[in-house]
Amino acid sequence: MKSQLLKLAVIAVLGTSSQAFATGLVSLPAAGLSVSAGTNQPAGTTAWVTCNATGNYGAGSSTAPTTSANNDCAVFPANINTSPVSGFSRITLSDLTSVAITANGENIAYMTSRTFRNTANTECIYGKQISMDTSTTFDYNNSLAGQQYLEVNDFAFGGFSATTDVSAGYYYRPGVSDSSVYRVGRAFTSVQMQADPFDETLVASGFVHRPINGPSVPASGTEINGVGQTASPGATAPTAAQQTSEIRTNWVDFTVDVTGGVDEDGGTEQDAPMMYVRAACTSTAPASLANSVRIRQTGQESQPWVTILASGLARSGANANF
Amino acid sequence: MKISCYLFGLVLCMHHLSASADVTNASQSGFVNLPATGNTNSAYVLCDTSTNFGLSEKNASNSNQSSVGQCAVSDDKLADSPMNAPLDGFTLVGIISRGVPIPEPYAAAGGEEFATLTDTVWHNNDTKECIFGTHILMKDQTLANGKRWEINDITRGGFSGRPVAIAYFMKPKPNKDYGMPEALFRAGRTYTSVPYDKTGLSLPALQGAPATTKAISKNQSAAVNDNWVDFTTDISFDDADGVTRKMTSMLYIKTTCDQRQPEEKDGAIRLRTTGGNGQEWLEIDVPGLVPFGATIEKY
Repeated sequence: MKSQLLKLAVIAVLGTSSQAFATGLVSLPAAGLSVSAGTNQPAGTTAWVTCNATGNYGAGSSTAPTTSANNDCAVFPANINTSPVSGFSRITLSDLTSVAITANGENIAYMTSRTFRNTANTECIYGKQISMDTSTTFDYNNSLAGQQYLEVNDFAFGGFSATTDVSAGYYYRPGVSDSSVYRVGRAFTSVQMQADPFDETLVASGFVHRPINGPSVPASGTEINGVGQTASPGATAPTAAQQTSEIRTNWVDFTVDVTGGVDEDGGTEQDAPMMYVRAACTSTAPASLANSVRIRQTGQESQPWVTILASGLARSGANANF
Repeated sequence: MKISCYLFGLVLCMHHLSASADVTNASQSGFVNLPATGNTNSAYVLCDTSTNFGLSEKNASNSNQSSVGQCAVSDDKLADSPMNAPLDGFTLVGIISRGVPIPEPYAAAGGEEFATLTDTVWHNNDTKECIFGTHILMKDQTLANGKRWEINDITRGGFSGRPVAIAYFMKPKPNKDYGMPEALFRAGRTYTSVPYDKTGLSLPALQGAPATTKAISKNQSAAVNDNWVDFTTDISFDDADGVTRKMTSMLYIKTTCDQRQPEEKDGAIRLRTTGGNGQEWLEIDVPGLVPFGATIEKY
């Protein structure tokens, strides 16, 4: 079912050669956005924007973005070497390709970076694409049959506090195994999401689509907010405070569903899409910034919380503070 | 004389371990207790001393597990993946892997990642115990003085008032990208790291020890500090002594934890260069996981 949907999506992308219908990067203002109350949604100010609304954050079958549908936050450049926004040129000296990210001395994932800058040297687009290691022996629960691969639910990138309003989006590469981006936020703290155990297309009771900026937000350095590791999804409803995420202007968080192998929900997307953040920069080359990349397993099913921090390219002089 | 006293202490320690092994699994022992008061004559116990504290190549670097000395855990599950628990009954609670930047002026520019430190926690719900795993992989970076960063000691805090047992797992085969891990030479219930003594005294004494808050000892002694555990090893991306091990073994601390989720505290882990090859002393503070409610002192 899922692969059929993907094939249809690929055909749709190939059949449209123009970028004219691209939805484009979405603005993530430092002041946040207003959101109204709804199902699984309290009213308030939020750091978050919904991107691909299909697939229930990867718990169900997602429909890939095309130039005509499911394309909020999506851009459609010809390839990763092409700027997703016109007027920007690639800084080829800053290309990084398949740099290993490790934990406990084992390769967990590989990151590819492409950076673009405008002709005035005032704005850059930082692109990062991460593929999971598919040969890993990582198994977060030995007592379950088979191998439980690391399931990445969020990638967060840091170093943007110098920009008031950044914009962000993603390029779903056709023909490979990319996850969509389900939501993106101007936030440091990722928020756990679980599906209704009886209907994978629905969010479980108490979980929130666009986490709001209060009234009670976790401490600034909190990597993941939620109910924690649970034996079965939906068994524990989160409190309102367990679904908030503060606006943190230095960070942009992309919610995805990426796994090196078959994960507990049956999904197999082993690659993140190319994820972009457009922010202010200078003529100085981007610099490697330790711990400005956060790879998080937030427990969509029974997974324990895992956070892998890595170096990433950022504006020269940027920091990875919360 | 000193060594025999130490051995006597170890026998007591091993006896205690076997008594508690009914709960865990005797076949997977390797964990050695570090009493809160130290052993008879030292805050430390010796583990693998076959490489002369990393200064000489191991006789059989990819030898089987039976030759790696005490404190070593041997388990097929660990050979499969270091994310697996070193004892039965424990399940993974969480992992946090982070880059370790070196501040200026030791690094030419701040922000670059010199090593990757992985903190792993497993929990046993029946015994209310946690195992804290520590692993470091060095990266290809050079210090401002042109030398490579070398880590001789890793010190972790947060264990005051709790029983502590330590062990390590050394992968029997080299990693295709990062080579062989280094063994654990010794471990102590102390805040004080002790530079390797080329005269051969490898077990730091309690007698004549500096204050319990001293990071690196100037003589071959260290006082007990029950909030801290020190692991002595020897890693560098390119070691000046010619024997390069880019990563540590999996280093384990087993203790009690009433709550499954640990806490993260600034400065809970200290990475120290004690100058085995003439380097200047250096200590880098890193955040680390501690048992819930534990405290970390800043001396």
